[in-house]
Amino acid sequence: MNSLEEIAIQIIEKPHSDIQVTDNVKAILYEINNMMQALLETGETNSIDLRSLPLLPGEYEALKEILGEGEVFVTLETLGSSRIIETRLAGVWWLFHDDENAERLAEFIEVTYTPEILKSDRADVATAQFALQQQLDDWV
Amino acid sequence: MAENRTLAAALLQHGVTRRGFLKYCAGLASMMALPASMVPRIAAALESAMRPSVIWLSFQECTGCTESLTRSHSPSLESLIFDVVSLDYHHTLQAASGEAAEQARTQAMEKFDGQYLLLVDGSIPIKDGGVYSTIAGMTNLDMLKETAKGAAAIVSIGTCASYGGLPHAKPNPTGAVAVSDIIKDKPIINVPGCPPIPVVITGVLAHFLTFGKIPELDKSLRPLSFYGESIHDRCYRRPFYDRGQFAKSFDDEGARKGWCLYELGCKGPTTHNACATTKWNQGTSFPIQSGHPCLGCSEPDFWDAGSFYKAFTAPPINVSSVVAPALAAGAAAGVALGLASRIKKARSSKRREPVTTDDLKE
Amino acid sequence: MTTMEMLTWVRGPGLAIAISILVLGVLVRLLEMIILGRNKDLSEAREKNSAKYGWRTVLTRFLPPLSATHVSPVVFLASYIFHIGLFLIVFFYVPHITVIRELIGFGWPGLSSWFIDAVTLVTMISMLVVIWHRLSDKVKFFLSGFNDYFSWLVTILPVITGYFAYHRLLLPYNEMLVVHILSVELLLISIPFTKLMHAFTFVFSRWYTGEAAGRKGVKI
Repeated sequence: MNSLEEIAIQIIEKPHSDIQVTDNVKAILYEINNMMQALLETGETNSIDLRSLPLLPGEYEALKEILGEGEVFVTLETLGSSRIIETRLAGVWWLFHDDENAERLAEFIEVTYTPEILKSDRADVATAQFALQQQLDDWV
Repeated sequence: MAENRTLAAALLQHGVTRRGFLKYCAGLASMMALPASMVPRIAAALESAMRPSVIWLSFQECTGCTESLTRSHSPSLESLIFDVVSLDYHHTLQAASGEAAEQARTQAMEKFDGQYLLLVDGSIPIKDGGVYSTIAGMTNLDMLKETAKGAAAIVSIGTCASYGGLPHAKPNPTGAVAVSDIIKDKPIINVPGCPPIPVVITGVLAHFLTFGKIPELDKSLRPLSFYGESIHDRCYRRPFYDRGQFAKSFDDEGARKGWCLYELGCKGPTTHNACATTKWNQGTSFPIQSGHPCLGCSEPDFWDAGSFYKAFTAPPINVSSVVAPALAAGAAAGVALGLASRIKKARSSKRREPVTTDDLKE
Repeated sequence: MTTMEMLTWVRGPGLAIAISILVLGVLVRLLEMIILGRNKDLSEAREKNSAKYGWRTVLTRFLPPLSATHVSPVVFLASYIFHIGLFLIVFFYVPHITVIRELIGFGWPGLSSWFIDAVTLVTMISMLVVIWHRLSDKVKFFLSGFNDYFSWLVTILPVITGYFAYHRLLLPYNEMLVVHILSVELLLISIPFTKLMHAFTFVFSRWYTGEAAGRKGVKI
C-alpha cells in the first residue's frame, strides 16, 4: 500500500504547525499528573489512548513537545515496528504501535514504572529455559 | 472451514509472539474504544475464545461496506481478525462461485448451527415478492430468513442493512427494508454508516469474538462505544461553533480558517458516529476536517432529511408557498369579518333610540 | 416513526402548518380590529396633528415607567428581564438566526452561544418569578384565568426544552430537538388565540393611547 506522502499536494495555506498549549493540552497534563500521583501512592498504573482524544491541530505537537524525550528508547519488532520511549517525565511512557506497512496502529501514554509489553512473560521464559536446558543436555 | 481452535492458538499459528499478541490486544482495545486497562482481560478472553464461523450476505448494496473493510490501510489488524475467523461465505471475496459457493454457505450453516455469526450488508427489497434482488435464484428475503435461523447473532453492516439506506429513500421503488424489519427473533447489531468506518466494523466483530456477546446498544441497536456520541460533541471545530464563527460558503475566509461548517449543512449535531475521534484512513481525517459538512450517513433516512448543504435547523419548506395562501386567506377572512362587524355596528347605531329628557320626565 | 422522520416532519410540514395558522390568525384579528375602527372623537382637538404623538408613545413605552416602579418592583424587573431575554435568545442565537435566514432570505450576526446560554438561565428564572407572583398575590390570583396560565406555559416551554437540548438533558439530543420544535410550533399557533397577541397589538394600543392623549395636548 503506497504511503500517503507520495501523493502530490500543493499547500495553499499552511496549517498551524506551531504548538498550541490550549486548555485541552493542559487538561491532559492534569490527568497525567493525577495518574503519576496514583502511581506513587498505590502503584496503580494507567494509560491514555491518544486515539480517543479529539485533538486540534497543534495540540498533539504541543503534548509531544512538553513531554519530550528522556533516556530510554526501545524498538519492539513484532507485528510491525513499535517504539516505546520514556518521556522527560520519569514514569510517563509514550508507546507508538505501527503495523507491517508502517501505518499507525495505536498510540498510548502509559504512566507506570515499566510498560507491561516490555516485560518478559513468565510462560515465554519457561519455554526458553526448557529449550536452553535441552541444548545444554545435548552438549553433555 | 473452521476447526475448533482458540483464537489465541490461531494467532500463534500465524507466528505472533506473546508481545505481538499483547500489541494486537492493545490495538483491539483502542479499536473497540475500550480503556487500555482492559488489555489483560481481552488477552485472557481471546486465549479461551473459539474460532467462529462467519457468513457474510450481500444484498441490495453498492459493495462500499466490503470495500471500506478490505481497503483499509492497516491490513494487519483487520486481516488478523479475518484470518482468525473463518469467513465461510462472502460472494465478493470468496474464490468459489456458483453452486460451490452456495454449498459452502449451507455446509457452514449446518456444521455451526446456532453458533455462526451472520453479517449482512445491503438492504432487502420486499416489493413484488422480493424479485428486485436475487442470488442463485433465491430472493434476498428468503436467503436472509433461511440463514438467520441458525445464527448466534446478526450484524447489519452499513446504513442500507441497518435502516434501509439509499434504496429506502423516497420513493423506495423496490420496497427496501432493513434487516431488523424482517428478523425479529435474533440479537441484531446495527453498524450504520455510508460506509461505516472500518475499525468500527472490526471493533464490533472483535467485541463479539472476545467477549462472546454483543456490545451495549442504543435505541437504534448501535454499539454505544462507537455511536454513543454525536459528531458535534466530539468535533475539533466545536470551539468555533460556540464562538459563532461559521464558514458561509465553500472556500471563503472562514472555510480556509477551518471554522465550523454548521451553516454549510453539517449534520454533526444530530449524527451519532465515531468519525470525529476515530476518523478515517487510520486516523488521517474525516469529512469535516477536510472541509465538507457531515452528511449524517449513520442515521436512518438521512437521504430524506433535507438538503446536505442547508443547515439542519433550516426548515426544508418553501416559505412563500406556505405563507402566500395563508396571507390571502387571512386577508380575505379579516376583511370579511371586519366589514361584517362594521355593518353590525352601523345597524345597531340606526336602531338606537336616543333617550331625551322628555323620556326621563315620564 | 423514527426520531429522524419526526425531526424532518416538525421542521417541514409541522412548521408550515404552524406558520400558516399564525399568519392567518394574526391577519384576521388585526384586520378585524382596524376595519372596525374607533368611534369618532367629538371633542375639539387641542393638537390637530395628533398622529405623531401616537408614534411617539409606541417608542416611549419601551422605557420603564419610573414613576410607578414602586407599585410592583419585582414584577416590573422580572418582566423586563424575560422580555429582553426572549428577544435575545430568539433573534441572536446563531442556530435560530439560521432558521430565520432560511425563511426570510437574510440574517444578521449572532452572539456567542455561551452568552445566550447564560441569558436563557436568567430568562427562565425571571419567568418563574412572574408566575410565582401571579400565584401568591391575592388580587392577581383572583383575576387570573386560563388565558394567563396557558400563555405563560407555551412561552416557557420552548425556553426550557431549548435549554435541555443544548445541555443534552432529559432526552437524547435528537428527541429533545423534536420536543423543542413542537413547543415552538405550539407557541406560534397559540398567539392569535391568546393574550400573546400583544406581540402584534402592542403597537396599535400604544399608538391609540398616545394619539388620544396627544389630541388632548398631553405628550406621553
